[in-house]
Amino acid sequence: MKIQFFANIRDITKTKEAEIAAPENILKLLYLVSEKYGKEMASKLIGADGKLHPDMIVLLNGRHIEYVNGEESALSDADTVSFFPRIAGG
Amino acid sequence: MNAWMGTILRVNLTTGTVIKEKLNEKFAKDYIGARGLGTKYYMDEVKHDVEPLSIKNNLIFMTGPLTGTFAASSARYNVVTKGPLTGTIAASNSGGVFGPELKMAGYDGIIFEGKSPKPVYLFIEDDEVRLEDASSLWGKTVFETTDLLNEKHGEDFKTSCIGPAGEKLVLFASVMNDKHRAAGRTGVGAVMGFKNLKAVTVKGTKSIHVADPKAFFEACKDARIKLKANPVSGAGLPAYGTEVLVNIINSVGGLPTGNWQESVYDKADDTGGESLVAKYLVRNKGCFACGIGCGRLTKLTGKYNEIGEGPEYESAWAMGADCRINDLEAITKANYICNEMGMDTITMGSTIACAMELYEKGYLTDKDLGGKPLLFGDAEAMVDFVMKTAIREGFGDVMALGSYRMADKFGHAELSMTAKKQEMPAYDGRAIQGIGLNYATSNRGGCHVRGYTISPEVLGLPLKMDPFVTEGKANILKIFQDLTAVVDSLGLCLFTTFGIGLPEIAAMYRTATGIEISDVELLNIGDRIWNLERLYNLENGFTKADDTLPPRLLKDPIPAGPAKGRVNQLDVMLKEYYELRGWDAMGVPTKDKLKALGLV
Amino acid sequence: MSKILMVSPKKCTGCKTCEVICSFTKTSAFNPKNAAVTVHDYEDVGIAVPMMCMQCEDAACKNICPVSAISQNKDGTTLIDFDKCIGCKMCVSACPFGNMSVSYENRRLTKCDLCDGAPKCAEFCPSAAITYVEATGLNILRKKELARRFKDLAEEEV
Repeated sequence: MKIQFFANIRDITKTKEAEIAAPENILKLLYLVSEKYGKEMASKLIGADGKLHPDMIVLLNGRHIEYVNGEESALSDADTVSFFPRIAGG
Repeated sequence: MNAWMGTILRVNLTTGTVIKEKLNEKFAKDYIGARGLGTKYYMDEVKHDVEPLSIKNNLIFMTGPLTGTFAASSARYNVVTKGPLTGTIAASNSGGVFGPELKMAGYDGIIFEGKSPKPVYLFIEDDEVRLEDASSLWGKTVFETTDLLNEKHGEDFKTSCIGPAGEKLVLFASVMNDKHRAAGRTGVGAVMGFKNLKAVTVKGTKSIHVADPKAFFEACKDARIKLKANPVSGAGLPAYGTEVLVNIINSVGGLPTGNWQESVYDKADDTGGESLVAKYLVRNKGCFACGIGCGRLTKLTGKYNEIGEGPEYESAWAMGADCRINDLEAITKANYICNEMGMDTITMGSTIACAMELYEKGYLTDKDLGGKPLLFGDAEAMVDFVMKTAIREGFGDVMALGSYRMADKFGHAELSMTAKKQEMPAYDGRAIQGIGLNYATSNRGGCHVRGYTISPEVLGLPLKMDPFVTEGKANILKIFQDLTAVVDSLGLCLFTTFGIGLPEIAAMYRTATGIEISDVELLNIGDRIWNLERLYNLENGFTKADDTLPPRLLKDPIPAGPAKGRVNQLDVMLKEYYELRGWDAMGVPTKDKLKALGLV
Repeated sequence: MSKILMVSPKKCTGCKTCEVICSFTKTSAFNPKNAAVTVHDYEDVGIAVPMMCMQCEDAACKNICPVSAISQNKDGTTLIDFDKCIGCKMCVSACPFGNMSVSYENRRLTKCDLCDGAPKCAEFCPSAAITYVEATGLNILRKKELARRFKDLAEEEV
């Protein structure tokens, strides 16, 4: 599957995107990505409750995971997951 | 008075007279300042059927009670008139330092009437106010005009002016202040140009007083701490500017591409905030008293060796994805040209994108365009037409009318991506339903900063809402539109609302003015301002039929990407919206509603 | 060890928050022209520099004052005794950095007094371009170097 990084998340990964084998679901992916990119990444991705950090926006194939199946959303190798910090503009 | 300066300048350009008059305190109390107060003054004095570019139209510069204070991001002033692009009420606001300087000269605002027989500029140094000959400034760019006025009067003078585009009545000319900040939309710069008013240059040495300095300081401090702690206003915007939105809007499948034929751009990342920071950012640029500092001071080093500001997200989109251009250097250059010539970037880019589609479909020919093709993706042609439009050369003369009049001229108005003849900005209303409702109902035509539902629909602020659903969108939009009217009227930057809400804003207003008002009552003023603007548009013949979107958004499903197959479901949202507003089925405010708002 | 105001021009966004809050601290009203700090924005080179009293050891303002109204406290902060000040503005002319001015609000001399040890400009600077830090040999040298360059720049302009 494809994972994409944006804004200050990209500063940590030093890469725009990567290909990895799809884990079972989003929650597992969070931990997988945290492991791959280290502590700073973990602190951005995972909140105090061990789940998705509230300041993160995670899209699964362009849909906010909340409108798919949250952290339980199942993943396959054809999927794209995008990681954004809470950002805004206009 | 506290927070307001208590004096309005009335300048009759026809006779050359300047009068200082007392601020109408009831107006100020009922409509706050800036956008609301300016609109009230405007509607009270100008007949509704006036032509925007005529001697009878007024042009108003107005600050708000919080402008120039310690309130976070309190840089803003509004330019109010009837917009030549839209024929609606127009209120365009801008930051920088000009607004605060005007206030510190002792004035809440300036009302310009009539038309000067020759080019003039308004000189203000505290109590000394006079019109001066601007013949030598006419034809000069925004940057040149600003520099020349500084050379003549001193470095301390702050200038708001038009560029050649305003002089040449480009229908989307902007009023520019502090060189790079724009009251950009609806063509307020053309009204200024019509009046032969080149600039306002001001130096002020007076202080702004507030009712309860200690409490006001605490309210501002509280707001500043919250803005700093917020991930958007405290980290995201300072780090990447508004341009950071390119990638997320593209990722959700809502980045209009190729004049809105698609809504995903495969090269979007090349034009995003990350790329801008990596390649061209010199430093952040903060408006007056701003803790966010989203402005980008940028430098181009290649073939365009220049330093300037921007682009912002919407500008980068209009001249980027919408034209299928991924050359960020060309986009930035085009943005600089818009700034120095004084034109709105959104309408400019969208008009070029529309011309590209007209050409692609064979409705525009090489001959029309002056012998050359205009293809999507042609960065050089895009930059070229931006300049041609500003000076109305060749086909630029047609582009200067905006995309609606241009496309209509060639028989295909349906390809103009406008609401009330103003180009919609960088969020596809098919992928993000609520923003479509906002474009359709915005009192100044296609615009994102009247009710920025992108916050809940994409960014999850202050709550998460699914962009695909229509339920609840009318309600959140009404609240956002009303709150935005308050924020704009106070002289605050809309971006503060990412980090603070009505309670913090109301606390600053109360302590600054000494007016006892509840949070809800303040929000109701926003409702009043919204309805006042609506009444103006209705008086001008706008009806429910104008509260709509281009057929492409209502009928052509998005061809690919996360929002594939979707159209905007305007009908269902609009009905609910009218009901929530207290308007009848035709979108007219009911007698009861107007009575409740004190508008009858 | 005493503390000093350190300025990092690279971080400054030119927003003038320091000027606004300084003017409020001095006059209870808002007007950057009454502030003891001024942001000099050199946009053509992309640099903005907030400047305030350097708290010079050998202070020209103090040396020139005809009524000895300017003195230095134990931390080296240069302070004005308004009971003694006759408003002659000799100090304004003497300051090589232009860091003394006269307030439009109350016609009094305005200079940075470090807000009695809690400078508001540093507290509210959004981008940490102004910080209030312990004085060390190194940062005092940096500050002096910045001041020297700024003085050169200012003289060039004149």
